[in-house]
Amino acid sequence: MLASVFRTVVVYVAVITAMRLMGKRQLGELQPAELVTTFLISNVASICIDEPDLPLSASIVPIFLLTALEILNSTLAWFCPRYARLLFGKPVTVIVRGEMQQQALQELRITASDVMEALRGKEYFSPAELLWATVEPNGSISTAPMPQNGKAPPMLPLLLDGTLYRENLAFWGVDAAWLDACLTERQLQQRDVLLLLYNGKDLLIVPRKNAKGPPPKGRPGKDAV
Amino acid sequence: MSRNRYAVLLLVTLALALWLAGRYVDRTTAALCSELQAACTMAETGRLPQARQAYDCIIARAADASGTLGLLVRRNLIDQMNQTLSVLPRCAEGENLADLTIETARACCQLQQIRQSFFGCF
Repeated sequence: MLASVFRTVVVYVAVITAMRLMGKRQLGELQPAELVTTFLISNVASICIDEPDLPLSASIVPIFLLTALEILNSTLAWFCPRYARLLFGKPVTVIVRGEMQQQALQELRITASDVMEALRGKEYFSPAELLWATVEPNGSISTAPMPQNGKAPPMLPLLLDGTLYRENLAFWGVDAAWLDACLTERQLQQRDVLLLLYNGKDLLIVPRKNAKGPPPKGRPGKDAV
Repeated sequence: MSRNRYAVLLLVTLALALWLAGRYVDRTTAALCSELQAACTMAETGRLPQARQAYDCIIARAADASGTLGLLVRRNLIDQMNQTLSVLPRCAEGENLADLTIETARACCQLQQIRQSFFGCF
């Protein structure tokens, strides 16, 4: 009995330490890789409490090994956007200007009723109310309502961590050549840009800190095109 | 990026701890096994009091090592080994030598299982 109490305390401290070491990298819900790590840690932590026959190291070593792997994996994803895309996936736009993108639904293997259920949760009852809706890699849905009373539409990412979002370029009726021209005008290249957003009128550029060339003109990082 | 340093430090610490634990398990099981063989040889050559004394020493050493081994391998393997070892001094009698040989072989096999429990990959 005492062993079980002692083990529970040790495992509890180990799991709390592991979670603190991993940190909260995502602001929203867990990414698939983080969810897997969390599930694995919870399972590994319980085996040594459930089975007193097993040594304490059978839980402690895997918990800290998973923690180290998770940290190194997320660092690798940070340094390598391609790996991050492979690991986390990328957002998929399912509604464009009020129209449901059936091809995207098929790719995601979700039904129109799933999308409608998610939209109702956000108090939208028709796709026609939306300028676009995107299924994020963590499974949540992000929406932008149709702009009303001359308000500017929301900004969409065209370039993010070196990834070109061609569907968003197409959404605004521009192409990669147009984007390159915009960047050349500001003496920048795609690799110098951390984040580039566009809403059909304004362009917001956040250059990388080590980017060469002068900072973009206009409001901090924002230029009208 | 300090978390990366923690991660590397964690991996290095784990690797070091596993290496030290592996060395401990390997040396302890190998030493106990060779001492068991030596004690058995003593008994077979008629030096029974020395053999009994050697078995008592082995039992005491195994009991000391059980606490640390319990952190590294399954508890029931250690219990089985200790149970087998506990009968060995009583088998070191003139008429029980056949049993002594068998029980010594069993204890060595159980030590091997303890080693395998730590080093087994799959």
